[in-house]
Amino acid sequence: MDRTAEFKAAVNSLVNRGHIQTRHQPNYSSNHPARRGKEAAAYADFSRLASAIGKEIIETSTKLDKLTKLVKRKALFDDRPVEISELTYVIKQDLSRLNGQILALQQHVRANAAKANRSTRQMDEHSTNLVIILQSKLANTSMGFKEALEIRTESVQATKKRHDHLLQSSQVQTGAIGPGQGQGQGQGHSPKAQSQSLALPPSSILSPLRNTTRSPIGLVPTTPTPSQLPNPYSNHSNIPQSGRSSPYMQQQSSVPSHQQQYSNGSSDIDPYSSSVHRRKGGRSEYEDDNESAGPASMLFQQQQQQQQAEQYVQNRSTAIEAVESTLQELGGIFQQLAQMVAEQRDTVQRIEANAEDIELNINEAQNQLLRYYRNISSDRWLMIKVFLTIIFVFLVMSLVG
Amino acid sequence: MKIYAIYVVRNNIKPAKAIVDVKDLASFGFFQRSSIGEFMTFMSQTIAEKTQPGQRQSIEESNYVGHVYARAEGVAGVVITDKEYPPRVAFSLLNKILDEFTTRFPNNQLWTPEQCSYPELQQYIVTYQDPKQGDTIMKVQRELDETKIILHKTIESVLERGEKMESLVERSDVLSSQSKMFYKTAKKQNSCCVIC
Repeated sequence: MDRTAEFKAAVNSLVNRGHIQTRHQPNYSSNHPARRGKEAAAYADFSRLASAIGKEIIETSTKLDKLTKLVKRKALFDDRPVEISELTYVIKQDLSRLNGQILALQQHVRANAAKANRSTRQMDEHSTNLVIILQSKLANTSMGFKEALEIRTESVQATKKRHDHLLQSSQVQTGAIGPGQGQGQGQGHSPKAQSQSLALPPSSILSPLRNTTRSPIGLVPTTPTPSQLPNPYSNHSNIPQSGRSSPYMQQQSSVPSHQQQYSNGSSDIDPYSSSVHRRKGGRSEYEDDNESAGPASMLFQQQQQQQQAEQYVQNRSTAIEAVESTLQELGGIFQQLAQMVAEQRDTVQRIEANAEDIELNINEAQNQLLRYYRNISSDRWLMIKVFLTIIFVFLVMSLVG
Repeated sequence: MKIYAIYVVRNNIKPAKAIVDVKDLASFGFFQRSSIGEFMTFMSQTIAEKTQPGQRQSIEESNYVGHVYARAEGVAGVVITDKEYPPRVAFSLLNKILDEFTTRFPNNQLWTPEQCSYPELQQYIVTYQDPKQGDTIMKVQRELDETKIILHKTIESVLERGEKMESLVERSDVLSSQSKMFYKTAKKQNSCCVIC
C-alpha cells in the first residue's frame, strides 16, 4: 500500500512543529499517539505536555512495579528497607508532580476551550479526553502504590511479631551479655530499656497504627507519638548486638508516618517530610535526655497519658452503655406489663358473660314467681275447692269421732 | 465523696496563676483551713503547668486527688476531690466550667482575678458535692432506676389484680348456676302438681 501521502503529511506537521518548539523536543514527541489530525500551535504545545506526562506515568508505574516486587518478598533478613523507603519517597514525589502537571494541562485545555471556535471543537474534545485518560492512569498508579504500602505494613507487622517471638526467648542471654558490653552510662541503660521496650512494643506499635487508622480527628492527639516511638528504636540502633533489629525498628517508625498520610487521604510530601524532621528531632531529644530520664520512663509517661485519655472516654462510654441497658430493661418490663393486662382481659370478659347470665336467670325467675303469685291471688275457684276439701275431711273426721 | 475546691488556672504563662477559685473546706478544722487552702492552690497551679493542652489528668497526693483538664486556649480547670469521687463526673464538670468560662471571657487580657467574676462556681461546688445530683448521666441513671422500681411494684399489683379477677370469675360462675336453679324452681311452682 502506498502510504507516502501520510508520510509527507507527517513530515509537514513535524516541520510545522519544529518552527514553534525548540529543537530538542521533537525527538520523543514523534512517537506520541495523540498526534493525528489537524495540528495548530497550541495543540502541538498541549500534545508535547501530554506526551511528557504519559512518559512519566509509565516510568512511575515501572518504579511501582519494582516496589511491589520488593514488598512482596517474604525474606526475614534480606528486606532492604533503605531501598524501599527511597523508592516510596521517589514515587510519592513523582505522583504529586504528575498531579500538578495534569492539573496545569487541564487548565490549559480549559483556557483554550474558552476561546474556541467551531473548527477547533474536535481538538478540544480530544484534548479533554486525553486529560481524562492521563488522570485515570495516574489514579490507577496511585491505587497500586497504596496497595503496595499496605502490603508493606502487613509484612512489617508480621516480621515484627516473629522477631519478638525469637528475641523474647533469647532475651535472658542478651541481658546477661549487655552489661559486659556497656560502653558508658548510656549504653548501660540500654539492655534494661531494651528488655522493657521489647516487652512493650506490641501494644505501643499497635496503638499508633491503630490510632492512625481511625478518623482524621483522631490523628491530632496521636501525632506526638511517632516522634516518641523512634526513641526506643534509635536506642536499638546504638547497640551493636541487636544490629539486626534496627532495620525493622526504623521501618516501623516510617510505617506509621505512611499510614498517617494515607489516612489523611492526600498525597502530600509535606507530612512525610515533617514527620521525618520530627524523627530526627526526637532522636536529638533522646540523646539529650539520656543522662536524666532514660527512654523507659518517657515511654511509660507517654503511655500513661494515652491510657488516661482513653480511660476517661471509656468511663463515659461504659456509663452511657449502662444507661442504655437500663432503658432496654425498662422497655422489657413495660412490655411484660402490657402482656399481663392483655391476658387479664379474657378473664374480665368471662366475668361479664357470667354476670349477664345471672341477670337473665334472675329476671326469669322473678317472672315465674310473679305469675305464681298472680295465680294464687286471682284463682278463687281453686281456693274454694281446696277449702271445701278440708271442711269435708274435717266433717268426716268429726262424724267418725 | 466530696469536692474540696475548684480552680480555673491560666497555664500559658509560667508560673501558672489561678484566675478564679472556690473552696469548700468545711470538713476541716477551723485553724487548718487556710493552710490547706494554700496547699491546694499551689498544687492546682503546679499540675496545671505540667499539663499539655487538650489533656486530662488525675493526680493523687496524700489523700486528695486533683483532676485537671487543660484547654488549648491556655486555661486549665482543676478540681480537687477526695479519692472516692468518680473522675468521670469531675471531668464533665470541668468541661462545663471551662466552656462557660471561655465563652464568657474569650479575651486573653481579661484573665485576671479582678476582672473575671464567676459566681456560678459556688453553686456548682454545692450541687456537685453529690455526684449523682450534678452529673447528667448519673441523674438519668438514677431516675431510670427509680422508674424501674416503680414498674416492679406495678407489676406486682397487676398480678394481685389477676388473682382477684380469678376469684371474681369463680364467684360469678357460682352465682349464675344458683340463679338458674332458682329459676327452675320458680318455674316448677307454676306447673300442675299443687298438693304433692
